[in-house]
Amino acid sequence: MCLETHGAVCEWDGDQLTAWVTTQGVHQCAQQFAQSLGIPQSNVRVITQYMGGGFGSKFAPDVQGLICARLAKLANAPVKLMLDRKEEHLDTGNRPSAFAQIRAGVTNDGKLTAFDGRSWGTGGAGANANFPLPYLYQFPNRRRVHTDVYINAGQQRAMRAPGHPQGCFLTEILMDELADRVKIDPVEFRIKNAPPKAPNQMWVEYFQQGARQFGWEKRHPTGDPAPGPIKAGMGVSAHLWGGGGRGTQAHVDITSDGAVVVRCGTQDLGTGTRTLVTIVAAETLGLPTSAVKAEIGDTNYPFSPGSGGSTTAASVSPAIRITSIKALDALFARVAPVLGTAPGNLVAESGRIHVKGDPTKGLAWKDACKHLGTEPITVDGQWGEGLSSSGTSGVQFAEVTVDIETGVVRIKRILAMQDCGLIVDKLTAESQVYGGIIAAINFALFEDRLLDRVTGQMVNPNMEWYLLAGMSDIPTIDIVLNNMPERGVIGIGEPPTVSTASAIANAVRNATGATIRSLPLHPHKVLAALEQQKAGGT
Amino acid sequence: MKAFAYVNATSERDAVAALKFDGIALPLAGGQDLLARMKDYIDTPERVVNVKNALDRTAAPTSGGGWRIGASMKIVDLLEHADIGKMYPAIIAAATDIGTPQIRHQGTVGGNLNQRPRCWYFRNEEFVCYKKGGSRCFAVNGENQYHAIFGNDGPSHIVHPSSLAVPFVAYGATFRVIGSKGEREVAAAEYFTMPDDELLTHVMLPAPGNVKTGHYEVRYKASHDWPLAFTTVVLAMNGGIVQSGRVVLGAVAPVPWRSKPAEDALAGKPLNEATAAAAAEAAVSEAKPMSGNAYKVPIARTAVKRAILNAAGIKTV
Ligand SMILES: Cc1cc2nc3c(=O)[nH]c(=O)nc-3n(C[C@H](O)[C@H](O)[C@H](O)COP(=O)(O)OP(=O)(O)OC[C@H]3O[C@@H](n4cnc5c(N)ncnc54)[C@H](O)[C@@H]3O)c2cc1C
Ligand code: SF4
Repeated sequence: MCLETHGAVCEWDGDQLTAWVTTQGVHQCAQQFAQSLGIPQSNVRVITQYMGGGFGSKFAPDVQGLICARLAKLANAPVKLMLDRKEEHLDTGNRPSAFAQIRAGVTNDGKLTAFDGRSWGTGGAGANANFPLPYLYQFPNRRRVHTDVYINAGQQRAMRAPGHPQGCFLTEILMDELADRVKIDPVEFRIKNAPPKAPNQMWVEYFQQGARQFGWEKRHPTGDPAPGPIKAGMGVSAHLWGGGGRGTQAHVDITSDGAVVVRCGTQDLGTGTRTLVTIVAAETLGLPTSAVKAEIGDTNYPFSPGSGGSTTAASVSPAIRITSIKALDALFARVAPVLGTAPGNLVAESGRIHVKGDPTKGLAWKDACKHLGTEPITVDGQWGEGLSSSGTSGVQFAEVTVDIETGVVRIKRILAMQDCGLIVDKLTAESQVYGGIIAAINFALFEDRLLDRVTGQMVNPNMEWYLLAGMSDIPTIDIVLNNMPERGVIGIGEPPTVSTASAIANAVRNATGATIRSLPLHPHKVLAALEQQKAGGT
Repeated sequence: MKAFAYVNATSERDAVAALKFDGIALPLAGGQDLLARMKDYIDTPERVVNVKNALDRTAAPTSGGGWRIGASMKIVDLLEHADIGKMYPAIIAAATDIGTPQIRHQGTVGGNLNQRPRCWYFRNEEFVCYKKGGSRCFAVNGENQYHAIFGNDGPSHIVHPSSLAVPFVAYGATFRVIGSKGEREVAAAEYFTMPDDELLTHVMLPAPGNVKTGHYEVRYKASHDWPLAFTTVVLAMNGGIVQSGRVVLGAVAPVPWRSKPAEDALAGKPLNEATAAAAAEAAVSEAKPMSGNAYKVPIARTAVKRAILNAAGIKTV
């Protein structure tokens, strides 16, 4: 759910359209404006300086963008068209639903043997709603039949880690039920059945390290034996994601006044891409971040793909690094004669350019740049292999309390074990984990599109009844980021949002002993499961 | 929002005069409810009369040992009122979790008591239900998980939205109202079924006497949300024995719901866990849930039980 709704401001200058759009892909958006309006793409400029969240739902101009452009043309004036909250709920897509019937086999010593599942999902009318199932764990024999169900309701759209939270939830709650069947601790059971350790498969280590840090040894078996209505429980879940980089291009200018401008037609979804661009360029040039100006979010800048699939950091960082090195080499070539040495002997660090191993033989950055005179450094570069990779893994732990007289679940704490290759900036990387977990708390407890069963109308297209966690619903969140510089940069936007709901659901089962195979964990479901448990079944 | 004329009334008399209008005129207090309804085209008044400056914003002791609270008093000021807090703790408990800090700073006592239903069919332009002059209640065969479980004889199945109304009824408050026919006082418990053509000016709270009070709310989300059910109990005590009591439930019926069976179950009994459990059971004995809200019955029962235990000073959770 985007707090900033979808929309745009459009303005024409003759046959030239400038559109300020809240979009995750300026170039892609320009292409679609051009196609839909029947004008050359070179006549369209799309700008996205800042945006209030996209989560996969904001790539195209959409109907509202095209209407905005057409109105601006007719009015011969700039037009702003932002959806209101109700339109946002009705028109801009949802994570598709998922439903499954699963049979699974496990040996007495806790090895998974078979998975046999039928699944259904709906993405609205005529849309695909498939998702990975079974998720992550190794079932040597597996069969699965999926059926898409078309319904006459708002269309599905990509939403942060498309498919994964659904598949993860259905598999991870099964894992806890199977672990109970063979009376093995859920962490141990998962370790027995997780894929072997590899740089992109660190689960076994995260289970072990996380369990220690979380205090997993204090977890009681299913069903809190403590007296009173408040039951506490712990749960765990694991996830994976791809990420990985591709085709970003960039441009770097260094002028005789020492100014550095980096341009890249990527966009910042609020994830900190602008910060990333600045940090990579500054570090490469041996400058403080304040000395680098990053210009992004504009189709006038070199091409960069849309920000989807957690690919932005891995696409942009290498491009900026490679282009900045190119610019620095060009600068060294100009400065080396002044310092009486070869370009290859120079380094840039701490705001100076000097001879390797002899900091006294050098110039301050600004003084070095003075030698550029009227011919600045201006270079283009692009993403290349070797500085990024793909494939991340993570594990999350949750502790909850459940009031068994009211069915209300409160989350006490979450621990996230996560990697994303080389951590370029700890602050923004951790921010993604916090944001992902908070969004997943909504998935676990609150978010629910309620359609009136008689008319098919959504009854809660607002922020009063479409519930979202507030500050007081958010628990302590601890994050352990595993820095793996040897792997290069990998994205982190999506993976941390996958596991949380499954870990919470497993913690609720551990607390109450009642099995709830459905999200969100609304009190009515919790109370119904407790009733069923009292009646002797799950 | 549809265009409207705006009148800023500065006295009770002005306000009443301005509301007497040949067309739709509505009083505006903090605007937390009215303006939202206007933006969603649920109400399209031709005239909006600001009554904030016309009605009393303060609370004052009365000669009978009680208090009177002005309709323009902000929820936050009520919440922070030390004397009212000491004498009527359930009012403070009810005010504490209303909406969000922003809503409590803007919303008023009068606006809170007179807010319109939050039923999602009522609030949705597309559904023209009984409450909007239509010919049916969409909640009956539709989505009714947050609707009434008591007083469900219809035509409407809303739950009364005001958190403050419940302790006011429990403390036996009366409301002072004014209209074109002059002023009068009505029992809080009657007010919510009256036609709403008068202006509420004051809440009159009697001296509480020797009572124990308790309040308990069940909320799904911790803030910016509505309670699933809540209860205020005000118990007149004779030593350790409950002489008589008022048990009022909120968020479960179209009006603040006074539970006679629960009150009967309490009378003459010692204030302890067994009595609380019996009264809670009695309270839900007359529940008539709809198709999708039977889960609210155990929640209401828990709210009653815990409110009584709270009055007894017994820790519940
Ligand atoms: C997400 C959310 C959660 C909320 N949670 C709660 C909650 O838990 N408990 C709760 O009680 N409330 C809750 N509220 C509602 C909020 O408290 C009320 O909207 C607010 O108190 C209304 O007060 P106001 O002064 O702003 O009223 P206004 O919007 O100004 O008026 C409300 C209505 O009363 C009429 N009116 C105003 N003054 C008078 C008067 N003196 N005499 C007669 N009629 C009058 C107006 O015409 C209007 O129809 C919540 C609201 C939201 C959005
Ligand atoms: S409960 Fe029924 S009649 Fe009442 S407001 Fe809702 S839909 Fe309308």
